[in-house]
Amino acid sequence: MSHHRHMTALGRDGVFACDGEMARRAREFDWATTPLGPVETWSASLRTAVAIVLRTRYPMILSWGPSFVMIYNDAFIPTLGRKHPGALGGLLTHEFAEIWDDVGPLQRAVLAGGSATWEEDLPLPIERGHGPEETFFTFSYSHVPDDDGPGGVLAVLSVTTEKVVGARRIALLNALASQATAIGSVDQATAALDAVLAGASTELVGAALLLTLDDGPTLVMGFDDTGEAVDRPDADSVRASPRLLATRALASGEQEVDVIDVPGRGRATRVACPVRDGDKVVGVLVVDPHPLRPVDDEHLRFLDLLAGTAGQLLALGHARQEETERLAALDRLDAARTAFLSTVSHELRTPLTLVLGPLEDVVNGRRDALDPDEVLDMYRSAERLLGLVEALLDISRANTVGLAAQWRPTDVRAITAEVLRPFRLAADRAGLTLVTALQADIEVVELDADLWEKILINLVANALKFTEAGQVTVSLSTAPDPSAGSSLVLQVQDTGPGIPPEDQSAVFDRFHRIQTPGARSIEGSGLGLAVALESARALGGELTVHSVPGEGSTFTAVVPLLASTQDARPRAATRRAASMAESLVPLSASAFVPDDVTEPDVAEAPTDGSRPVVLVVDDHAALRHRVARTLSPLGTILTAEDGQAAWELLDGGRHVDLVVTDVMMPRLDGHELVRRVRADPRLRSLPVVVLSARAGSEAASEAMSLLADDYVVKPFGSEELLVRCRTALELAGLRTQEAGRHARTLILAGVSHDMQTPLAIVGAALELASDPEIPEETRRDLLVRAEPRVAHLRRLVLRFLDWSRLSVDEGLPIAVSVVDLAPLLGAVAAGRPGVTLTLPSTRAWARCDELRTEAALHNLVDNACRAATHVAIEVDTTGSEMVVRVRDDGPGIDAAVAASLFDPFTGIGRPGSHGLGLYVSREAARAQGGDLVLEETSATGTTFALHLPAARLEEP
Amino acid sequence: MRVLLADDDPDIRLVLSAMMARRGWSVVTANHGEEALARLADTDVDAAILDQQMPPVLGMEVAHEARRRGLTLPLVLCTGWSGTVDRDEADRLDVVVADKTQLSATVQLLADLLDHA
Repeated sequence: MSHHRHMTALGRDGVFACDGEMARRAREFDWATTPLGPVETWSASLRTAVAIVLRTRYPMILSWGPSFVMIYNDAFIPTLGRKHPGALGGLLTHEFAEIWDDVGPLQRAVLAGGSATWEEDLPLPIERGHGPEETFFTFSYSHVPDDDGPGGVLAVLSVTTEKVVGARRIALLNALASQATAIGSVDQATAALDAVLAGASTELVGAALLLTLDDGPTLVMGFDDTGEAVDRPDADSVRASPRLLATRALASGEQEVDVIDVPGRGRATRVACPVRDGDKVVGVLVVDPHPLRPVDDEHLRFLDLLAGTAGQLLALGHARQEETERLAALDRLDAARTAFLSTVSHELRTPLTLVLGPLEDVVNGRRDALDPDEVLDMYRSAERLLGLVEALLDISRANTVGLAAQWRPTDVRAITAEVLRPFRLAADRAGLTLVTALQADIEVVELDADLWEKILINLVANALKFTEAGQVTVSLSTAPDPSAGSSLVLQVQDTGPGIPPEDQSAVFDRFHRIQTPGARSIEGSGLGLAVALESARALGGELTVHSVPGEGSTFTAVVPLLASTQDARPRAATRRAASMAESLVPLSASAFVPDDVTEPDVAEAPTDGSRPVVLVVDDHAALRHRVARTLSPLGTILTAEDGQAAWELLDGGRHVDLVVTDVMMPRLDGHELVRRVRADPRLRSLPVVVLSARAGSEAASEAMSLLADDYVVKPFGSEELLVRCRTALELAGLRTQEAGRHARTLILAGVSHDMQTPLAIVGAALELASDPEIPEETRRDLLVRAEPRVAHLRRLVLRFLDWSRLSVDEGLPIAVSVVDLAPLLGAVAAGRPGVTLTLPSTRAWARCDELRTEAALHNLVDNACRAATHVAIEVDTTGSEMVVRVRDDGPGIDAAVAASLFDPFTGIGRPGSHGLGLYVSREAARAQGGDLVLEETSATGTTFALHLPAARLEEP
Repeated sequence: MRVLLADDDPDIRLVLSAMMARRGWSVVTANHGEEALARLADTDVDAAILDQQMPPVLGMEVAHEARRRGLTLPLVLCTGWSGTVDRDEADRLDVVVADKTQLSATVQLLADLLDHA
């Protein structure tokens, strides 16, 4: 046989004559049992190849002949796992049957003489005796030719599993960590974890997160190998519940590994890793690793890292959520405080108006005397004021030093019955029933009667306020106290709308007011329940609420019962209960209605067409009638008890010339009423005067935000109210009908208003300057200051005269000359901070009326400076035109205003503007053959452009 | 004699200051209502001239606050738009209302008030 020829070159001993396990095994192996035959018969090529394989320290395997008989070296042993040493001399097709589909074709192609192959990180599920494992190989096949036979395939390979899987794991950890920026809550952290893990199907087939919540470990996220999300919070719907292993990990605080039976999947490894927020275990991440990935130490360390990253995300979500909640809580507190202040202010001002108004009328001699009803009304208002001030004091005292109880022998039954009496009458008037059940055997006890009265009054008032139909039940009883003796139990039960569960804890907050559209009245400072609670606590007791929305609320005050052996101390009756009851459900209001007031329900009272109709809207009956009486000289008065009633009247087409409305009202408040009026094309121009409970500039901004025409601050005098309303009516009249004549008066007033400050300065400066004793420096200073004021006056006069001419259709006496705009603009810009002037390089000559152009530019720059901090003046020469642009960086002009910007009187009603400047400037520019336009306006600024005819160069 | 002058117009401040300086009074100025309240608190003045229009705090509001603090000094409120001043309130606060267009008359009015006091 031909291969004998080579025996001398590399003998049997020579082939295997090297160190190592495989050399030894190959030496000892009976090759005659393989298709290769005894070593002596091997071809030289085979011998050489085997010698190289066995002597190489890099993993190599040689598969020889058409049946691929395997010979491998020591470095290849780990790749085989339990297949070693049986694989030696075995057939590759058998030993690697599990990957033969992948590698077989490659092997055959190379054996057939094909070129060498190179595969990088090729995943192959290798069976090494512990079930299939995904293993990554980088390898090269090359052909080892043989003289006679097909030769063999030499595979040089390295296992890259660690590198590939390591990179994947790092990528997964990175993907998870990169979610941090988008996480704002625990839920978002959980969702991010869910999304990232569900996308990591190469590493795991199932995962679940259990968090230690108040009610034990709770599954918040989970999916299994079916890809379905695990239904929350039912943990047991996962193929095999992760809860068991999670509980073990929670208990041990350590990673736990288990082998579980998964239906349809056989046995699988599951790992549970504690998830920590700092040092604290907050939950467990349960992972079902990918079945092709062996759960070795490296893998377990990775899962701990994964749980660590999950813990960081959850901690971050938790921290951000707390921050958000803290900010929201601050916002709520701030809003509540503002609402409280505004309510208290409103509550104080309404009765104050009712006391001060009539008194002022008498003091000023508008009226000779007050009628007894009115005096009674004033008295009640004063009582109401007193009650409010007391409540405020109680709350501030409770917040600082605490309410101090003064225990005295008290007949609590008698006092309770006495306090309830006026409320029973009030309930009758409101069509409600007040049921009382006072336990008969309650004797004299040690109690602070004042505090008891406060509890009782506030609870009953609260119940009556929110109960529209049905009854209020007050019961007083005793009950054994588990700790000592017995307690007094006061229960007030109503059939009102009830309090939603989420609001129940807040009802005792001192800033809290229940938002109930059906409330009988929005009166009340929101302090009542807080006062009741503080009073109960001062008595050593507690106040609680039980409420079912739709059924009603029950407030229960429980205070220790201290028996007394003495007789009850006599106590001076207070008017608190009566005052509160009367303000809740007013006594018949009709007594206060003057004859000329028409209630809306009898709205078809004859109205004289020539007399204006004024609609007075206020939920406070006494105040409504006082306003109605005060305004009766204006015309016919209609009244409405709240915004809803007023709107129904207006919407129903009732003709009204002026609306005078309160802001805070039940059902529909002043804000919404004015909003509806302004949104209705029929009513848009209807003047509205707001009765504001805010002070100073706040009232103005409130009126402004309401789009009201004017406002009157409570407490107000009759004169002021009348004047404001008359003005509002007259201005509205101007807007519609007699614009001309009245406008002229108004313009005169406006112009003289604009003139008065410069006039005063010029006059006084002149007077001073003529005094010989004035220091020379001051004199010069005064004159320097007076000069621009004189120029301003001259422009105002010019503008007024021009308007007068325009208003009688007379042309403007334009005096055209060639004007160099450069010095003119320089003068306009001079002395104004924030104004920049950019002149063109060429001559800026226009044919125009110098005085009017200067006036127009002053007007534009004045307006711009009022609106903005930076103003740029630029001149553009475009052929036959000079264009002067005045740009500002102000907030822009509202589209509605922009539409009528150049109409006369647009600025009426705004201080410092009589609305003529732009109108006259445009007319003047047009008379000169130019124009004045609003070129552009947006939130970032406004540009006006003055177009003037350019002067020809040879002209001057 | 020391007078507080509160007005948001620098020219008015200059002119009125000069007029009062001529009478030998010393003048403390304030650019707006809040500053006026601060000067009333930290400076001992014998009288004050307050412009009504100096947003955001009006002259009348300054007067109101001054009285609330128990200050009894003569107060003159300058106004050009007399319609916006509540005369009743001015009387209540013991504030004399002066016409802003008559600056020298305003100073004379203050001199008369101080003679009375």
